[in-house]
Amino acid sequence: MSQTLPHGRVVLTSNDAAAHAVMLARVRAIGCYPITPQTLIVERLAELVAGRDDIEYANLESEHSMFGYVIAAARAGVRTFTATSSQGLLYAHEQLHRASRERVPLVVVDVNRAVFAPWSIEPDLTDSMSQRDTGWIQLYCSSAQEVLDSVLCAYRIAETAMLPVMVCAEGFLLSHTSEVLELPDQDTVDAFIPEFHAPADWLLDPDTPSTFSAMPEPNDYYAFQRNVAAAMDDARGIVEAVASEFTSHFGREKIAALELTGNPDADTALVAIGTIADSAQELVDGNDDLLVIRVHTYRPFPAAELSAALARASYVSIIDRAAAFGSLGPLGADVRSLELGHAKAAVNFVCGLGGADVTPATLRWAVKQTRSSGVQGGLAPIYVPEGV
Amino acid sequence: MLASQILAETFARAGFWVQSFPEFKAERRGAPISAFLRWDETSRIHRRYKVQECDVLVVVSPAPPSPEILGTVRPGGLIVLNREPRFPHTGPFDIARVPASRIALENDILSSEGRPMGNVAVLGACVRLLVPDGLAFLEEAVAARMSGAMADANVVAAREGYARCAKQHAVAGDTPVELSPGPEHASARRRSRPLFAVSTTDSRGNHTGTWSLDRPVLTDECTACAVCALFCPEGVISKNDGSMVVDYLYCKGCGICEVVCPVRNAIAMEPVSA
Amino acid sequence: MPAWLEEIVAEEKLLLPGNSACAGCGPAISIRHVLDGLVAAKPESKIVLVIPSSCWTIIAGVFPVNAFGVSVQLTPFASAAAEASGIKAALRLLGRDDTTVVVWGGDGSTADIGFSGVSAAAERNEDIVYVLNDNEAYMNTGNQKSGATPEGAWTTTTPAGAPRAGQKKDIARIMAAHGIPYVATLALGSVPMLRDFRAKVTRAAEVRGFRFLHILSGCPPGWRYPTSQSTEVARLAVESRYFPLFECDGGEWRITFQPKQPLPVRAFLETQGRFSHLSSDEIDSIQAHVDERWNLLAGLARGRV
Repeated sequence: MSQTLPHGRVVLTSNDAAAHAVMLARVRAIGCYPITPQTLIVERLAELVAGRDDIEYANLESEHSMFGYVIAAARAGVRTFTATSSQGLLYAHEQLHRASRERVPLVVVDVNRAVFAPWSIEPDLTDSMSQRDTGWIQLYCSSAQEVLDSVLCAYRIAETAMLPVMVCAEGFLLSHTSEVLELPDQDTVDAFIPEFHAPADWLLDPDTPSTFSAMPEPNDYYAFQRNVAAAMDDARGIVEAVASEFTSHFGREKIAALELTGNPDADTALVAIGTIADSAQELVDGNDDLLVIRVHTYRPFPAAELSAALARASYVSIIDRAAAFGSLGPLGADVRSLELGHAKAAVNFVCGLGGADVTPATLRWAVKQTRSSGVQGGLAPIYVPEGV
Repeated sequence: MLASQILAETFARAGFWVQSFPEFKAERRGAPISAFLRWDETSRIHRRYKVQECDVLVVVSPAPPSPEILGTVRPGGLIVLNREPRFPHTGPFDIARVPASRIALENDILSSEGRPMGNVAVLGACVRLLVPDGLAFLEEAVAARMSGAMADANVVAAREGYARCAKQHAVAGDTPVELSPGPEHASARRRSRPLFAVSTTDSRGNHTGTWSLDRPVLTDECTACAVCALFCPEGVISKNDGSMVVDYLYCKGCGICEVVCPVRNAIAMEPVSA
Repeated sequence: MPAWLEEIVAEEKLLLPGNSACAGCGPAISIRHVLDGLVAAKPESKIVLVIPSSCWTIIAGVFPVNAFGVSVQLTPFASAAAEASGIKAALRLLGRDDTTVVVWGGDGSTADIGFSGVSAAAERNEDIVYVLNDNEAYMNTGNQKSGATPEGAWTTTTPAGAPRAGQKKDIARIMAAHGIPYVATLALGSVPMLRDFRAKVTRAAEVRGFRFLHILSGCPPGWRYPTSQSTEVARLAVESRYFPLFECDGGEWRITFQPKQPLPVRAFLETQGRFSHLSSDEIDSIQAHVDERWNLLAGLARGRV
């Protein structure tokens, strides 16, 4: 950690911020498997955990096993953490579906990285956004501070909703970028995150013979899936309440679902996620006719908030840093599914895959295209040409 | 499942549209399984959902059908049983019997585990009751699905089943069968479900003794050495007051106890009588 | 009857009646003696069972039924060893280190899809008992070839005309090569074999670290033999040296069960439909491999019996 600056501030990368948040949350079991650009998180944790006999740190042989390890440890009653990227998240895909359906309150950091092939270690959001239907709450960050705060909130959210939470941060753009942030002290965090007590009718207890996740009859299986859907819907309120409590507890604003910048009555809106949305704030300077909407909570999807935020916009540009071939981009498809009664055009753009740079110029181009398209939005996303 | 496919093929050869499908449940081999058959004289069948009620219930297993299974037969329907003695019950349906297991034994039609396979003999009975002039079609379907000596023996079994099936008439003393709503009836299955898929109900409510075709009977030769209890897969042989006791509520009739028994004639495997 | 047998007969049984295993299921006999044997050896310890996908995900019960007198975590096919490690870690942190965490995995999950996880848990010397329930093919899906399917065996994916290439994976020896504290092979075919079996389960209960028990148990529908023959098939597997009973305890190899009069492997093979297509030449080849492997084990044991 860097030396402390005035006002209790420090300079950390998002990877370091994540590791510190995990320690502050008093995690007991950590599963590790290296993958760029996440590796620094588990390396930092290995240093911080060394010599502690109240924390288990396991080197697994794959992400599939690593997710299995933390799922099982949580099931037996301890708070867990793990982190991964790209291929690692995809390799564990089966466990992602399973964790939400088994109602395991995991917190995982996914440091977003493009997916093979061809090889790339650069950022895009395809890895986690392609997991959007696995039943995980997904929080996308745009600063090291938000990574730290989101990990802390994630434990509260997960353990209240009994659903897993994925905190997503783009590789290099966040993971390896040093920034100034506030690091809370242990007592303040302890007062925010209580000890983990799993529900008794969920916990694996050696003294109470039970079988976990045995095959039900079809109607029972269906009912359990409905339970997950209901828990995800309830999670909207939980995310909101935890963010609000965080804001008052730490005296620092915590975004819940959306961050709005610019003129809320503007004719033009730009919807983005992650660091692109942070860069987009530059477009608002001197432009009174633009609203930038950053989606922080992507699942459960903040449909009502987004509909309200977009109610007065005639032109909506939706920026994806993820591919969904043969359809709209993930964010594009979600926003286009909303009632956008006022909008003359809602156009989906894909850009920045595999770390291709996204600058304000890229976004101005997208906004201009949207305003001049004269169509409702098209059936496919517009891939922003290289170099714009 | 094979029986259902052969019967479907028999109907098809007789000019009907058919649909046949198994229902895979959680039980392993030895537990009763179900398969379903729909047939229609005039058009392709579009129904892609489970069968909750049936017009004909065919019980290939020699074990008597449960009240839940009997409860799926529509009033006025037909039940075909693999059974030699009378079925001493009546209900709102016709009952036919065919000694299919015996026919299988007579023709040396045994599973790899040594059990008589009465399925094709039962089909002979079904064809007689359901498919006009259908025996030749059944023989063709058997020949198409099987080969060699197995096919030859089963063609004989089909004919025997056809010849030796008979509807039974109610007589004084028959008691009404017990009927329960079918297990898959949604209306009957509205029970409260917990939030999490955590199973805590002891399996002893599942009486696997209904699976068994034969059961071990301990004779006077038994010395209560308890070797049978050591190797019983179900763990349902115990020693009580110096003698061995088998819990038939759960015994699946595998016969391992008889094999491991070191005493001659101490355990006899006897057919489960209805 | 000897006292140790009387005690076994009187034990509380942790696989409950009403489970949905097939009639005559060989592994049902084995799991009973593993669980009950662990309790007999360490009555104060609780057991948590971890079961990757297999017949046993079903035998454990259809929700909400539980066919075990212990807690059971069902897992995906490939992650049982890692999950047992996670449960053990959590229980250690919660002051429940006395709990014995047991994996009951089939040959598909152990030798094939979950092998890297088993190997890694062994390499980390996790404090768990890993039981390989070997019935030599994917039986839950109806008998497809696995890495533990022996040469010559019919499966639905290695039909008689298209036999598997290569030999059954020698899992116990591979696991012993990890240098773990205890490896043993077990089978239940007779009272003397039961004594050997229970002694190994007791040893596994006593040792700390990664313990690997490789049990051969017959599957009547998969191996194609009558339901009454599960113990007989196991007895012949051992007495023909097809499946030698040995252990590697702290690096010391020992053959624990010497058949007085080794039977030809043919005696084992001919009890099962899965081998019924084999020619004399093919059986001779299997016999040669059986002899080769026995000699190799005898060399490792250097006469320790």
